[in-house]
Amino acid sequence: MTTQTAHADDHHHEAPKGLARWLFTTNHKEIGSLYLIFSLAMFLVGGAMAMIIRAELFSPGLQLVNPEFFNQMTTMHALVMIFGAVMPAFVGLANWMVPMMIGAPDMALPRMNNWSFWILPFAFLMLLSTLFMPSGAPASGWTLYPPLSLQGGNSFAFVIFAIHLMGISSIMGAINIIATILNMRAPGMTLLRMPLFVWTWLITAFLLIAVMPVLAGAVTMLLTDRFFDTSFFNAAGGGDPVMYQHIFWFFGHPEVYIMILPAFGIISEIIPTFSRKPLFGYTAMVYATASIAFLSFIVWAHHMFTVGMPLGASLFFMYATMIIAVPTGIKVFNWVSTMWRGSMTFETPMLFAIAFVILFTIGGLSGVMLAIVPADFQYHDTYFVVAHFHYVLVTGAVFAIMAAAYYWLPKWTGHMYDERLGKIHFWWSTISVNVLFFPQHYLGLAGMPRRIPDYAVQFAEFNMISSIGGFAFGLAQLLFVYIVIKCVRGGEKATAQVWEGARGLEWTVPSPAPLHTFDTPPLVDDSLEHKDRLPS
Amino acid sequence: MARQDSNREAPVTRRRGARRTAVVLAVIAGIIYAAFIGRGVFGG
Ligand SMILES: [Cu+2]
Repeated sequence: MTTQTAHADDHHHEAPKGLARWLFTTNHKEIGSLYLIFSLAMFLVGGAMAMIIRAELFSPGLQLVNPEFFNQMTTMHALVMIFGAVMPAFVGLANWMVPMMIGAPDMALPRMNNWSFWILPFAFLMLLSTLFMPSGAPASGWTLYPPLSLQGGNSFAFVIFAIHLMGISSIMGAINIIATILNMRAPGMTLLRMPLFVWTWLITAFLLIAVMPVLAGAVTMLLTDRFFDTSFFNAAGGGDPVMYQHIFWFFGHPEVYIMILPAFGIISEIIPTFSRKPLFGYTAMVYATASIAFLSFIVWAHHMFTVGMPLGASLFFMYATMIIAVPTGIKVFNWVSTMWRGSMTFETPMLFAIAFVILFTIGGLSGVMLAIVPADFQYHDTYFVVAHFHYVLVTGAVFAIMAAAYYWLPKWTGHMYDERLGKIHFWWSTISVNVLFFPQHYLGLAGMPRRIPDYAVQFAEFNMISSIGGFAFGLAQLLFVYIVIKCVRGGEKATAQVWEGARGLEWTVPSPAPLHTFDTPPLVDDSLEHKDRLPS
Repeated sequence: MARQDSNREAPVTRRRGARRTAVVLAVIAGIIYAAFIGRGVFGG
């Protein structure tokens, strides 16, 4: 207790200004903003790479870039979007919202929080710098399968180091989130009273701690194979290249859920608010999230059916994968049931959330198709896979991040965003994203392979349609950037609750949320007086 | 010891609990990393 009084007086000390303020900040809201700004920047960098890819694929033949550079673009687009855009966006949202949602004054380990963020810009500077090195950026696909990935130049060492740094950043972020949720909850904020965004992030953080070291191990072995004459994955030296694929996908499949579980949490926050009803099946949602997380560890070889494996193994991985449709179906059912007979309104966050439910489900269904072993022999490494995971990651993860941004921007900035522009952004994005990715299903079923700069002429029409959708979708995101900047700079004043149907602790603090919230922990209980503190 | 953390008002016991949680999780991450490299070194 003495420590508490001793520190009460330095509460209003002069905060550093300018660059130092951001470099040394330990405040969860400032670090959250840093993550979100970084993620938006990486989204634009990765998006620019996607534009190059779609421009090259606009028509058959080689037009704009040479094939080697095209391969660098597909590889870097994936690495930048996964590790630079989607994951940091969710960590940024967690930084901003988790402490406020559980009534904590900050993250449990604020200085480690600062490190988790500031490692990232250096990691990505290093990764992107390989584009300007003589041997170029990695070009073997983001999976970095040996032996192909080991046949590039020395810039590979920078790629490996960058991935290690991203891994360390993610692990530190995950540790912080778990430590915060397990130790910093306000009195009465029991586990089963936590908002679903907190629950899904808690489970995601455990996934991160379990699998980021696996990726680190895999790329460490790539590094020593490439530069120190080991033969982990070199068959000529007694190693096994297929072992790399097993290790990589033991990380890779849970990684997919790392990018979608927080999205589930966001959607579970937004739909009740704009339906003005409590979430249907809260407990089922928690258990479904945990089930999905557990199952994500026993399905990895569904990425490797065509590599060859015993029939029993194929069947196991096929059925285990299909079982994931059960908890996922529970979630979709609960979201729809929450909306059922709700008093719904359709502000931009809700529009993105509803689009998520529909379009993510399309990605889930094509995932079940891919899980069918004999069918996968046809679909493997085709544009059908590309269509599948872009439905999951763009209309899934990215749409959820957009929904979250619109939902919480008033809380962060104190201003309402421009609702009319938000709706334009939504409809423009939703239409163009389907023009972009839906034709890719047909291209894949017709046999167009992924990761190629040129293709047979029978694929020309659908590629052209897809590219037009791609350019339109890219343009729509510039509108998003404009909307965010406009909202930060001004706009209609937001109330504390912001949305009529919003429930939970984060809506009890003023908008914009002051730098320090819940210095004294709020009491969370069932009393009528505190009913707004309970999440819906 | 003047602390710069913005969570300085958090009760000391909770902060200690958080540190313990963090150490345990970091050790788990280290063991997983070592285990998978070990799988590479000793595996067939
Ligand atoms: Cu998978």
